Amino acid sequence: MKRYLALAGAALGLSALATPAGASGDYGCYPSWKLANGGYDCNDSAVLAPGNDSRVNLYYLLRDRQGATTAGLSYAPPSEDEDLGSGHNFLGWGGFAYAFYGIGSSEADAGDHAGSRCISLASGDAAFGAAMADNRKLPAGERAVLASARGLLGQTCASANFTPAWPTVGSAAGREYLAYLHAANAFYAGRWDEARTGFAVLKASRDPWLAETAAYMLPRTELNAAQAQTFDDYGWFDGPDKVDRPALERAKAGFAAYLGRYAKGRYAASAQGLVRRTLWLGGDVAALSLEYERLLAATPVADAAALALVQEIDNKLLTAKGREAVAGPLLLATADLMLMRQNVGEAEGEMPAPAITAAQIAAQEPRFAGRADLFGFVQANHAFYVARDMRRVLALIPDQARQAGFSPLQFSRQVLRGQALAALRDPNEAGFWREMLGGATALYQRPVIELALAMNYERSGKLAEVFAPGSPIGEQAIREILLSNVAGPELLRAQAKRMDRPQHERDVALFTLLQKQLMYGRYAAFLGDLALIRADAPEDGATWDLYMQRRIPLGLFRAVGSGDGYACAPLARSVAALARNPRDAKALLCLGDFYRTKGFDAVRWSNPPKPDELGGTATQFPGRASPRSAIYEAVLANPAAGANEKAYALYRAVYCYAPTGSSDCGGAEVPKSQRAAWFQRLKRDYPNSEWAKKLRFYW
Amino acid sequence: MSQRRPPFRGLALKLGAALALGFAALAGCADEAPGRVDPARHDAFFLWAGVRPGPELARAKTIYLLDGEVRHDAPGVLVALRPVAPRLREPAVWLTVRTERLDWGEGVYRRLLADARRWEAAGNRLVGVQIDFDAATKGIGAYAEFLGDLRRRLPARYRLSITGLLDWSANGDPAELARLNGVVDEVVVQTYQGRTTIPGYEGYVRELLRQPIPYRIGLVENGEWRTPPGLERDPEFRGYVVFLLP
Repeated sequence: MKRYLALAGAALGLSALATPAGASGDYGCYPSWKLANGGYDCNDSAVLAPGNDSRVNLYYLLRDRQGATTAGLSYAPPSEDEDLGSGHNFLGWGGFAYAFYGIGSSEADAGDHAGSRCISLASGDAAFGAAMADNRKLPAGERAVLASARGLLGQTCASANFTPAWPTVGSAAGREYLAYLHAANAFYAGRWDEARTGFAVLKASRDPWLAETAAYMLPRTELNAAQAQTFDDYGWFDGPDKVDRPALERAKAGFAAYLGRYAKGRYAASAQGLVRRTLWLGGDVAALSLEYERLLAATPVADAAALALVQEIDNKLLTAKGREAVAGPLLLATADLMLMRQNVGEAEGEMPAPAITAAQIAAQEPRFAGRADLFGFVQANHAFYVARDMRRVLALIPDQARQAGFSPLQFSRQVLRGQALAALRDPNEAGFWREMLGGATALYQRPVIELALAMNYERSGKLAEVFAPGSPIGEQAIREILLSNVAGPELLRAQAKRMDRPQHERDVALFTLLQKQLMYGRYAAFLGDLALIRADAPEDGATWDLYMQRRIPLGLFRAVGSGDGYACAPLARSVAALARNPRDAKALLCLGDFYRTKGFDAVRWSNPPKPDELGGTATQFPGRASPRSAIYEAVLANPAAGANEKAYALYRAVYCYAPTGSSDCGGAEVPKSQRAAWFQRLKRDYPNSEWAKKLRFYW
Repeated sequence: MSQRRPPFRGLALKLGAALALGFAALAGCADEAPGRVDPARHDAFFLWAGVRPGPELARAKTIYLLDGEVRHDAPGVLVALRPVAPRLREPAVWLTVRTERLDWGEGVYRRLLADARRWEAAGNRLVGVQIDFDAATKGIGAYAEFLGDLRRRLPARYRLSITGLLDWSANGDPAELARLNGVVDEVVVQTYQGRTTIPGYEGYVRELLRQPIPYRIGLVENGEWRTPPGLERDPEFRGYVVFLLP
């Protein structure tokens, strides 16, 4: 996971990525559309990289080692409450259960007691009843009494101070079962001595269920005793310092004894899991990672349990203290990549600088024995992200772009090579990516190559090639980002008519075209393009980051005028007036109201792509865009504008800064003195206008 | 949430830039250095899971403790984030649940109530439940409905608190906001994103003064804060809560 605070990350979940302290913001995580992935961001992809969530890297490595393919899988459509912002390029850990197993979540509802020792309460009820039924020496009447007495344990789990009123039973077998309930109750209540004593006696029972269960419960009691003092008053694990070491050792010995005697016993799986917990609690990173390495080999990736294993490894090992001691090539590579993360996009001082050197990696070579491919990949990542030595990347990863298919690691290696070629501005970069297209057939692979190729075309003056018939770049999100940010009017118009492309993409092209025709003052062209709006186009939907939005509100451009004070004709009529006279004050103000009331101000709140991101090159739309603030300035500077128009322009210009003092209206912000001057001018020159009467403050 | 919510006005999303802007916003009226939120001067705190409690917590009168979260990919599960129940004798304790969804499964409600009872049984003075959900400004209606239902499920002795976004009062529909009144006992209005106070917060607070719901102001530890005029006299103002950083 992307954590630099080992414990905090698990708690903060997704929001930790966007908002470091978990102070809430959107829970969504928005990727940067580029290949470089060196830092703490939202760019989880099929290319193993320092910036990937460590769970993502480890899981792909696990698939790689087991030779798993994605044959038969297809891209799952995003659920209804998700936006389209990740395309098929980015997939975070939270989406893996659905993408690879078709299940909603790897997080199962383990009941009201999940995470506490009472988790076994419910399963214990059933087992207890079955065991009594098997014991012929237990009178039927006592069975019923004991089954009902077991119900008292639930109240102990609800409140440890509960004092059960136990029944009395007469038979020897009945007394043993009752003694078991006493011990189990003491266990759930946290009275370790009492539980220990009880289970120790019952281990020798002639009832096989009681004997086996006591043999398992005894070390489980010791384990709980060992960790009992490690939680602070706030209920948080306070680290291994306060572990009761003797109890921990007894727990280890007890689980070993249980597993020795009952290798296939009814609690064997649980005992094995608890053995891992003893290793974790004792801070024994080396032993824990050996156990995880064994489990990684033993857990088939076809089973969704692999996700839970990766999650546990991440939580308990990769983000824990002493993680540098991890053993095994998969875990070591995952840990190394985490240590290469870059301090990007964060306020200074919040993230440590990359914490691993090339020499340290070189010294790990024996620990990567037999995995030269993985070792070379780790070295190459260091060269790319830390040392920024692109030639070394090329030396470490020979060209193997032409393949029938790529495993996750093979794919990641070649993409990293391509990234180095791009950084070196190698003339054959595009050729390299085109070669990779042939083999990039696994889920989430091809979109990576399309992104690389699209960025190359965008930056080499070949934008039209992205949209040419037969273009290898078919990913809707990639095309739409280029359309919204870079394309000029002719390309947009042509794409708006491309019946071989999805409706969404045509809508994005047309929406961008119409919006920019207005912003760039191409009024006549706007009027001509209005006819392209389909009859059933929706009016509701966001006007920004169009590629993410499910609905493109093209219907907005058919707006029928507004009535919140300043009367406006339908948009098309205002634009027609502007086509005749671009300085028409009334029509300009109505265009401003259209922007304001239909959400077009929000467009500028979104983050435009940065220069190193897809869509980050200059727009090919000719001319200059005018923000809403320019409308008010133009009206105020226009001697032909009427008094009501001037008054309204002043009112709106002041309101641009409500309520925060920063402008909603785009353009350069003016000082507060200018806002005050507008306010005073409105009050002084147009005292009887409704706008002067309505305006009470300036900001 | 089906749409990406536009970020706060005037706020460059990257935090470094936001910090710089914060000072710019104050430049016009800087007759004293902008204050910093010092936990030592407060007595109510948010304690997220994984945040090491500092000495200031020893004298806390109110603590909001994150219990667990309902994640986007699993609306049926309350994922516990605090391994055991707290054991706090003195302060009033709120059990906070962070949620990314409103379509909770029954298991979430059961677990929430079970946790609340366990916290009480462990001797904490549990005063209520707090929901931390980022309702988009336009989605407050659906949120109010969810909260009304939750209110009916909670024992009457628990109060109900929610976190709120700073722009609700400025950009939200007053009628929708009013639906929260009577359903929730308080809104803790977060004045920060990430580690920094939202630039222009004074303007938003001014809008806040006009709404009828009891509220606290959530501050971020070490964030910028100067008490906007009128705030501490506002009859609905119930004090501050400091979000402690890891």
